[in-house]
Amino acid sequence: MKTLFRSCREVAALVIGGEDRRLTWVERLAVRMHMQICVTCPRFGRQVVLMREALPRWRAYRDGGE
Amino acid sequence: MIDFGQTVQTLRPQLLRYARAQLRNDAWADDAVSETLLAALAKPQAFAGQSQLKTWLVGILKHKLIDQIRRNSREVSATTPDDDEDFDGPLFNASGHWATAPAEWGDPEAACGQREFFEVLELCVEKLPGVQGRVFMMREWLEMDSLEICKELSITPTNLWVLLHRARLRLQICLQERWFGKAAAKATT
Repeated sequence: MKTLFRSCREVAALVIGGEDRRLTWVERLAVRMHMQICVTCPRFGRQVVLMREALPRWRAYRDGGE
Repeated sequence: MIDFGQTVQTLRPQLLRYARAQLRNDAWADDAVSETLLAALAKPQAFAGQSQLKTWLVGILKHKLIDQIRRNSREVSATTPDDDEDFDGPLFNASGHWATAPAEWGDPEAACGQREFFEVLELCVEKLPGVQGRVFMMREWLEMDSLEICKELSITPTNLWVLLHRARLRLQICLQERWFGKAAAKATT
């Protein structure tokens, strides 16, 4: 059961790691459980999403912006 | 034709900056940019119909950079650690809680709608330390396949994930410091 209860540090690592690899179902479940009880990590999660949305636009800016 | 040649030349410094940021090796970057300019000058007709010269040149450059990466793959060591194992340690306290809570960045459109935001993001990407920076740009700028990156750098997928993880976290910290932190400070004054 311990693997389902992760610290903020572990959850942040999983959230950012999820950008490049597919998390296991245990990891995904652990992240979701943690997000329900933590007020801080969801904010970090939203930062990761913003980065994900910003990067293709950065690429377009870099490649075409004057 | 002379005009075309001159216009192409004016973009050289920017192409060189991009090439250096990607390869982190001035000699290879010089080569990639020279090859790009030669290819462009040899085929000015290929540019016809394209709206932006820069877009066209950067497109050629990206191909030349991938060629350089393949050519020099044996010489590039990706195993040099850029920072220690404890790279995310300072963000957390001993019990694994946030030492400083991450900030609410708000509406992505508010940031992404602004040209200055991308200038700051660009600066943050180019400031990434050597291996992380190269790998991150191979993935997010050149859009190379993860498996190919692993192959060219002779690293395992796990190594790649660790490098990308560190790069992404570092970028978030950099954006917090140089963009969102400043924007928040401005809003409260």
